[in-house]
Amino acid sequence: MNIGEPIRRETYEPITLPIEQEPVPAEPEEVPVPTEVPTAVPA
Amino acid sequence: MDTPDRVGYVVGVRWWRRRRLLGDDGWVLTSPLYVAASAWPPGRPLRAMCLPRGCEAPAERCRCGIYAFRDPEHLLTHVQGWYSDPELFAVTTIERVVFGAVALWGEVIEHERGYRAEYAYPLGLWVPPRWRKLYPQVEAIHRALGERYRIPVVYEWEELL
Repeated sequence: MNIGEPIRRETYEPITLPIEQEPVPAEPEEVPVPTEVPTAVPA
Repeated sequence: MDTPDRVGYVVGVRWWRRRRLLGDDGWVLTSPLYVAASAWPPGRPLRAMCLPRGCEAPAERCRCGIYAFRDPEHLLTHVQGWYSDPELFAVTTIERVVFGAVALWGEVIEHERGYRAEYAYPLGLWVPPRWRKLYPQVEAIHRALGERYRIPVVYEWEELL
């Protein structure tokens, strides 16, 4: 997804989460499409 | 996590591909791209990881993190562009695309048109109104996804944003 250039970084801490379970680590959620950054594709 | 800058979470919009995983009878939301393992677990937050570089996602000098657009307009333009590219079109058929809103929290990098975040969970699914006639089977599938993730399914973005 082309979301443009970064502007700022902030930390958000919800009072109430949408769900209450422990987070699950994910594979890289966004791998650039082949035409963008082929070197970022995991082996 | 250190002292937060803000309390709450950011709301963005994004797309997924719905898939059936091996050994699972139901549909799940996955990244629309080609990382097979990137299923969004129902009932649990997704935490971003950066396998290519191993950085603390989302890192400023990387492209890792969980992505979302700020506006539905940018999201739909993005998806239309995707489906106008014959090489990318092969990734999935359009009726397997799922649109929705997501809560983003933890470390969040704001970009010009969206966000990269550390944690995320879907807040609701949006069905394009025209799809009710074009793809009649999609409505029931979205309802099943909504029940599984315990989120609403709507036909107007305003109900989610």
